[in-house]
Amino acid sequence: MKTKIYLQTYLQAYLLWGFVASLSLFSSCEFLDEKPKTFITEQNFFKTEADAESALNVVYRGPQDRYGVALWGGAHWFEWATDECYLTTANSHAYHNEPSYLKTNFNASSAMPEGFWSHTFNHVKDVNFYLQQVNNVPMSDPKKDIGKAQARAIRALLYFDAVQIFGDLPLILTPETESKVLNAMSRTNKVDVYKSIETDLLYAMSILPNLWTGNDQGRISKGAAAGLLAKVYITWAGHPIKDETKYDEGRKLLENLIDKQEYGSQYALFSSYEEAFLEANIPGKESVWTINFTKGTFGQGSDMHTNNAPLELYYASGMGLTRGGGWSNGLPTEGFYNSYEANDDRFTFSWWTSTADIPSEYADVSPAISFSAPHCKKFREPTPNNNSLRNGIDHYVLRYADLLLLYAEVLNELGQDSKYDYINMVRNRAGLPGLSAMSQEQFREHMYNERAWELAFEGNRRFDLMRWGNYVERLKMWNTQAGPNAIKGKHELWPIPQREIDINSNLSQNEAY
Amino acid sequence: MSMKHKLLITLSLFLFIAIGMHAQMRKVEGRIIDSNKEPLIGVSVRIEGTTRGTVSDFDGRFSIDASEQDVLLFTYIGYIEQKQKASNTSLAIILQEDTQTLDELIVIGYGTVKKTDLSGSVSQVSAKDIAKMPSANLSQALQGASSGLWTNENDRSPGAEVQLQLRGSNSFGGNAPLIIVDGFPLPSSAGMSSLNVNDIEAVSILKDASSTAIYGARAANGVILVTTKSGKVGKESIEISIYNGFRSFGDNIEMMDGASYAQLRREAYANDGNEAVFLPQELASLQAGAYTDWWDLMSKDNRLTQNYQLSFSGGNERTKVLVSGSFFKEDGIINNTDFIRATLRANIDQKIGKGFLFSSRTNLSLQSGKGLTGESQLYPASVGNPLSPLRDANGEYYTMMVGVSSTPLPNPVAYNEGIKSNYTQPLINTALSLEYQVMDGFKIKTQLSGEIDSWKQHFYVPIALSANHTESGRVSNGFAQISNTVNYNWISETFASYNKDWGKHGIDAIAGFSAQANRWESVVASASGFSYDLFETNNLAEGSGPAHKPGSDLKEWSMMSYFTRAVYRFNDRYIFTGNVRADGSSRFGANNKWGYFPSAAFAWKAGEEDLVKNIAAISDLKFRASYGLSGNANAVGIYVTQPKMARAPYNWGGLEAPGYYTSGMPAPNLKWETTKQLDLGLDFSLFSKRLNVAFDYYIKNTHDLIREIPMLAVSGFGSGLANMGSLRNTGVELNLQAAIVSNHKFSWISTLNLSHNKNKLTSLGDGTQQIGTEHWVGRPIGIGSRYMVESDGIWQTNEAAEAAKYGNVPGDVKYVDVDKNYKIDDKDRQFIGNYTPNLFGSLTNAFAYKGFDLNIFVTFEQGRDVYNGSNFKLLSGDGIYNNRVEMNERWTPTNPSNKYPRASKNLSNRMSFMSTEFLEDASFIKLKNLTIGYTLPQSVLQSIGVKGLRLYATGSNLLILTKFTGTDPEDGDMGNTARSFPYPSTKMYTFGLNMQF
Repeated sequence: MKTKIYLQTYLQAYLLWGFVASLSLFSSCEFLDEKPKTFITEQNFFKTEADAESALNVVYRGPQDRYGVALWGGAHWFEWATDECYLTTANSHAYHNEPSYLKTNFNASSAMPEGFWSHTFNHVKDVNFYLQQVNNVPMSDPKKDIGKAQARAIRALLYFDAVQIFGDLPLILTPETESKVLNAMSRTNKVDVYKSIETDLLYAMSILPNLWTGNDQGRISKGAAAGLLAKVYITWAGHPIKDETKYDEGRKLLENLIDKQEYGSQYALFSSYEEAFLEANIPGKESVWTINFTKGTFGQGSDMHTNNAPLELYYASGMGLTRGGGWSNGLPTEGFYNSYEANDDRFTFSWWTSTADIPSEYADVSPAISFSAPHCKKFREPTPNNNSLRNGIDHYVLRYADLLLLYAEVLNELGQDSKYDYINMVRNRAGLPGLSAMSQEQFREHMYNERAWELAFEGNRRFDLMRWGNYVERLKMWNTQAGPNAIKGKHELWPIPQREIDINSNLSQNEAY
Repeated sequence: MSMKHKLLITLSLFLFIAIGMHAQMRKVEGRIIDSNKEPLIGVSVRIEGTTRGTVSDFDGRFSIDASEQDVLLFTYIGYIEQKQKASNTSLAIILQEDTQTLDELIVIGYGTVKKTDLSGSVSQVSAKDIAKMPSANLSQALQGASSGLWTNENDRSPGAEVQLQLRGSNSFGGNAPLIIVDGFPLPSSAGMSSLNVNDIEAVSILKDASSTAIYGARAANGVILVTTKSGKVGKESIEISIYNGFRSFGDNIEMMDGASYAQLRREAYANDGNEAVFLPQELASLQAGAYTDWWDLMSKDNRLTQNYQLSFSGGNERTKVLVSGSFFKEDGIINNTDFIRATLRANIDQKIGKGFLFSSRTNLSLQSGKGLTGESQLYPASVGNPLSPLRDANGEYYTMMVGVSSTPLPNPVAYNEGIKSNYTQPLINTALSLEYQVMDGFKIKTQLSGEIDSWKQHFYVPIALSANHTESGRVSNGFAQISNTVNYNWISETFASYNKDWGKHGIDAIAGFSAQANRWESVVASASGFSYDLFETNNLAEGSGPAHKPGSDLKEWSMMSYFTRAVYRFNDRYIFTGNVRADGSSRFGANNKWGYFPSAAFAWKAGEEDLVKNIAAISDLKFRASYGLSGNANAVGIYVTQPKMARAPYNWGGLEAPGYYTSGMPAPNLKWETTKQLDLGLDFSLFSKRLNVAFDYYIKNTHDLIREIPMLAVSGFGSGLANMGSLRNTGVELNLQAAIVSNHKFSWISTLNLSHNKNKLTSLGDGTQQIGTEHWVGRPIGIGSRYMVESDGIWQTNEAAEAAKYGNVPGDVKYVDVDKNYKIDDKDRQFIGNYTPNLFGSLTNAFAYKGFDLNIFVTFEQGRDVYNGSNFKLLSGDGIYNNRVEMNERWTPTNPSNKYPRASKNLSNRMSFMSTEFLEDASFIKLKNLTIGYTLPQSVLQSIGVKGLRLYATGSNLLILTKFTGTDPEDGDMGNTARSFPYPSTKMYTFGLNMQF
């Protein structure tokens, strides 16, 4: 009987306790938290220095994707429909044809403007998330700063490319996930976009080291940020904004980089043009800003050569990409191909018309296979010449020769005769005589060709032409594919994707689209 | 007089009486039986006004000392209390079952309520209703069971579940109601199919907001409460029920024979200007007059459905027990398909001490099944070439199923016999509860429930077939795959209830708390490259390697809730109910973890007012009104609000370097969908309750619909989930029950359920008017599947000139050219037809005459159209795919059909897009069930020592009246390019018996 009473009291106590306790026991919020274990989230990610490093690695994917396998033909986005490059007629994909021909079907619904637009903002998003989340990682402030400086330099590059292609842009500098805010954004005036780019690069310059070594080679250095900012200033001074006060700011940065070696003494030209493109030499002395590529199965190979390599080799070798074949996506326009001065080393190194041009690699191919048009070979990997895994040659975003030419260009704009020193460094390396005694206008005109010869197919041409304000004229001069269709005042910019305007009517369309 | 004195006097008075009574005591004996002359065990026998008493024994006998003046009080749960003066020393007591109270108690969330006091809209389905037809599972048994509950049997494979939808479609996501079994909200539908249908005592279908809101964030799709049987005091019994059913084809589609098919091919080629091509094998078949009926080789009539059940139930005032075991097996009419379920249930209730009640509910179940796998079977069985033999000259399966086509079909018999696909699913569902009565009317109950549900599938494609088997990836030398998922769920729930009546007032109140958590995990492993088929899935290591990467997954969710309800009754006329539930869910975004769901209801029992009471015809009248909120939490998928990160490497120093970026748009504000529902109801009974009518009208406005909205690419994401959009369901429901004849010899009870629901998407929240072409503002959701070109018969010979303008010739299908531009394209599409029924319901007629009973159960649906795209193939007229026999009536110059086009090898006889040619009215009336039963009379049974015995015969799906030409009018839409085919419609004859000892 006693036991029974005891039991009952116990049960009563338990129940009453249970009722009260259960109210409080679970009331800790943690019970309702999701803790996914099948994927990583921001919450369980940014915990260690290694996590921060991982997130920064993705930030580096931003500029890389354009030249890697992630974006289909990204290497030619800003070479097609320029005076130097056109798309092979063997390519029938609308995605590639629309921006190459500039017919009326290149419009706001075309896939490629949408592709570039999404590419830009996808990666801007990764930068913004990194910049916000890295603050929560337990690591020293200087380390955080050096990460942020790299990320902001990349954001500057992403916006710089996009503002030249689309004009005014939605400027988004912090992670934004609220659909109502995002879907109501409007375009920020391009001058303010330039100012934001300037701020990011000045910050990067204030933090970054002059030189990275060991496995860190290929990271953005102070010189890279300065070199890009110089290009930003010179573009800002050119078309379409034409704020000519920026010329001198650009000049000052290049003076610091080239003459005063304030950002390191490592920069110089290789003695031959060819050496500048050898895998072992990038990063090297001609590298101001490069993108790392590694051949392998993990998708980190460069797609530059595969895009350029001849389709004829793809078929004729019967071995697809494995015997030097590619897509023939970018071919040099005839006008450009014939424009070289005699004995320009750059011509022989850049172009080939049959396998006989590189007998060392195609000695076994007999008779030699001829290509229907000259093809670009400057990005190729001499051995083993297998393009299926792409190649490991790092890509130049800023090459020292590019900066020398820019320096010459800005000095010409500012009326300074020292301009010859810098252009001649580049010309002499190519085996050409130096220039002298030209009017400002003659020099300008000459530069239109000189930059094409030096930088052909590296992904810069469209930007150069737009800065000079002669995009449509040059197109009509050499490019028989896009030239007849190009309209001045329209095709300098790409259309804002219709999908975006459909979602957000605050986004205005570019002129004539 | 002082208090003390009063007390003393009273005490001595008691003493005196007690002594005096003692003096006249003598033994009173008796036997207690029920109206069926069955002894009642454990009946409480008490002398009124005292605490002295006893209980009846196994034979219903009792003996007690009582005086002549004493009044004996006989009480027994479920029976009407009886008083009897102990004037005789030998008493024969017959207790009458209290059917009134039993029937009128309705299970609602966290309690029960008398039907007359119900203020919400709740349908009750009793064990008897459930048992009226043989059903593989509860969802099948609920067909036509309640107004407002739309059931759709589009899957008819063995053991398949019927789709349930209460009061219309509420969401772009799921519309499944919340199923709660003995207080346990089931995490998945497997919990429902694991139930032995005969273990169910009652099902309550909660429809309006005031009934459902107590289940808050999961109640917007309605709630189905299932109560399982428990032991009954004093009625020890063993019950055996057995039935065997014989299942055969219903009205199956009839395909062409070899000669007709060959003729079709000749004509199809000829119409396109060619001469028909036949393979030598086809010519041989033709010559021999042989052809293959693939359906016939794939199936067999009179397949067996078996059910066996043995249960024990019994109890006394303190202990109640029900133990039941069952075995169910359904063999599909398609070869090598079946479903098996074995269950063991133990339900125990034990009173402890004065105020405690301990209860446990446990169901162990094992389900298993063999099934079809995808497009390789029923589809080629339908369109397969009748001139192809089953086997070639060497006895191997013939593989050139569509002789002259470039894409041969699989030989369905080879796949049906060769592929092994079966699953086993053990499931344990158990609940323990302890209830304590703190004081009269005040109870606290805590319940802990859990479920472990494991599903494992073995799938093997043999060496001979795997290289051509699409679904397994065309691997060589066999494909073996084992998939396993396990789901764990527990819920802890504690609530207090309080009931009190005083004067004209009454209060029922509850308040409680619950926490529930779920863990789902899966593993899948496969291998290919076997030397022998023998291993199947039993030794994956014998394969040369994995066919696919092994996979695993894990998903967890949790919920926490507080809930309360108060009911106030006044003067037995006015009933006010208020509910509120707060639900927190792990699924919701971080900024919206908790949702609150209030509701209120008012009922006026006008029948109690004198004014109405004076009207003789009206025996009851009640008006109900309720309004409240409920949520659809499950529309928020698990982990969808998370800022998910994905992998994208970079490289440093020539080595791969890991990289992670935010790939999923975080949705910290994502929350449940909310449904606001207004329900107006009217219940009345006429003619001494011979006619009972319940009528409901409702408006449900659902807002914060969860949908994927396209995001500005500026966000860096393609799309994101957001609560945007709203829709409305309005409807009326009628339940009519009439006791047309009711006397002790013959009764005829007729029950009619009628429901109408109208659905409309009212907004998408961001000003847009449509989602793709699927959903359109201002129209029912999903209406995009009714947006198509209208067909208009067949071009006839005298219309050749007009037909030519469209590039057609006589015999081609004619379409309505809405924009009159002589081009039939997307711009000619119109909204045609309904996606959901206008009206659906059921009619039950139950007759009883002496020991015989007859139940005729009819279900019907009106106004639903179904896109029967399978006819695109079955009426193709191309001479490649076999066609149904109707195509023999095809258009020819001499047979100007206006329905079936001409034959054409290149399918130039019609357009390939959706048109109304295949949009069919799927209205139907089904004679779902007809049962004749006979209960043997007690006089016969007693001689064989049996308490009860009923024999019955049932016919299921005996008759289907419909214009629909597909497999079954409950089919879902099927596209023109679908390479699948629905499981056939069947009818079944069942013979069974129920016996009690």
